[in-house]
Amino acid sequence: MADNGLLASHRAPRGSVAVTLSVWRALMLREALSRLFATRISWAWLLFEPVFHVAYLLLLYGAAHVHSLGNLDTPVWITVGIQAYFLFRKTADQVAGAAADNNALFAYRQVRPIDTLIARALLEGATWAVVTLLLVFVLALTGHAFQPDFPLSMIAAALAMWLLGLGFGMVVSAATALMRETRQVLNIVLRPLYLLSGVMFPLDTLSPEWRRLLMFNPVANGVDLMRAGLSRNYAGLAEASSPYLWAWVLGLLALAIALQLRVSDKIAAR
Amino acid sequence: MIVARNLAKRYMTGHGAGPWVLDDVSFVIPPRTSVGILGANGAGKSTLLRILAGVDKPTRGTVERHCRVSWPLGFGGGLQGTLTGRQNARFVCRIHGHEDDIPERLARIADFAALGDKFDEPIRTYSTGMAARLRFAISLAFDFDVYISDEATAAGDATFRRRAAEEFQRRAAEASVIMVSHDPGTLRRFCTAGMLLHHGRLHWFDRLGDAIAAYKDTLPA
Repeated sequence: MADNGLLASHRAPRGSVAVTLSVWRALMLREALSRLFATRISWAWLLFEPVFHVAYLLLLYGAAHVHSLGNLDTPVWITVGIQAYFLFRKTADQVAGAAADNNALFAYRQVRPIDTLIARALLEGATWAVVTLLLVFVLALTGHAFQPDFPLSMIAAALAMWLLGLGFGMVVSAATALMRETRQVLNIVLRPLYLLSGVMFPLDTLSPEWRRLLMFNPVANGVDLMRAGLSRNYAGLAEASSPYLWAWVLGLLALAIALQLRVSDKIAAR
Repeated sequence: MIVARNLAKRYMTGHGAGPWVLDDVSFVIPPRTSVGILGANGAGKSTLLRILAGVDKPTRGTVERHCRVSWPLGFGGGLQGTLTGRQNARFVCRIHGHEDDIPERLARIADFAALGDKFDEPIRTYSTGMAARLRFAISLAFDFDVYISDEATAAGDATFRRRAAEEFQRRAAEASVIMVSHDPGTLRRFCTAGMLLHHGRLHWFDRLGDAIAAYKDTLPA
């Protein structure tokens, strides 16, 4: 009702779904512009980070003469692991900061805090897909075949990682509205996640007790499930479980939505 | 028409709930009535504007908007510094659902803001007055019934202020304004009625002159 107040008189009032969709679209286009073209080489940064990570892990494994991990070609193992991890980490990061970065836009009552979070997640997901395709292309060019045996289960695992990032980012965003320091603390606490999720080294090199402990981490499950989709010969982690990952996703999203509903007024208020 | 019923607002501070900024405020703004809001610094003028515009929620009470109400036009917010004036304007058109007639609206905005080539430069290179002109021009590109203005029309140079006033007077037949200003001259130019905020209470005056007189009485001599 209130949202319809802004229309030109010759138009029929828009429904709230139409308003929300046009807001998401506008936010995504705006974010894409400001992220890709803020400086002349902004767009190159998107590629730089994953390429750099893959390259330096390749260097390490090359020096150690490891050409295959869990029966997978090492560069493919590394690339898929890094992209799985980044999908979670970057989505979570972007979503967590969305409301604070777009504070100025809450001057328009059509834009609610949750819209900025979702628009960022959608944009991050789309960017990730493009970067991943480029990396796969580069792998193929350099003679490392990328022919997943179970493409659908890879896509499902990627979707789970994206939703996990969205849910986590929403929770952090709400928690930050209640207590401003949350984000800094989490940044420090979560930095080792990269190591603990089996991105750099296979977790089955650890003792079974440690591995069991680390596999409570849903991100480690997602990383391994992505790799498991690559090949039926992949010797993965026995503990990696798709139902476990999805239980996390649903639980986190439910918590995130509850928290966001609770604090959305606080986020918008200055 | 805007109907405000029993509005109350207080902000949460670092030490719990703050004092009541608005305390049980009710009023009706009739159609085509331009209102100036007066009050000392911190009396809750901007808070009231933000609640009327639907950007902030009252702690208690309701606002009914039976007309098209603008966002609060003010110095803060709404534009992104890294994007150009044109890109920012396009964003505002999009969220208001005007996907099909963006070029016409952009032309209207560019014309009124009179920024020349600067319209295609990032906002962060703008002076304060230029940004204010753009903000004002964007808001004028939509046909609102009520413009909510937090000192916005006081921005820009003398020429722009005159054009802004003329534009408002031209629209006075179908549009009105609710504005905050510390300058009685600005208020007189735009408004006929007045509201005075004092200690969380609101007093309505059908004539702006009476509101200004009452406001002067509340100030320490």
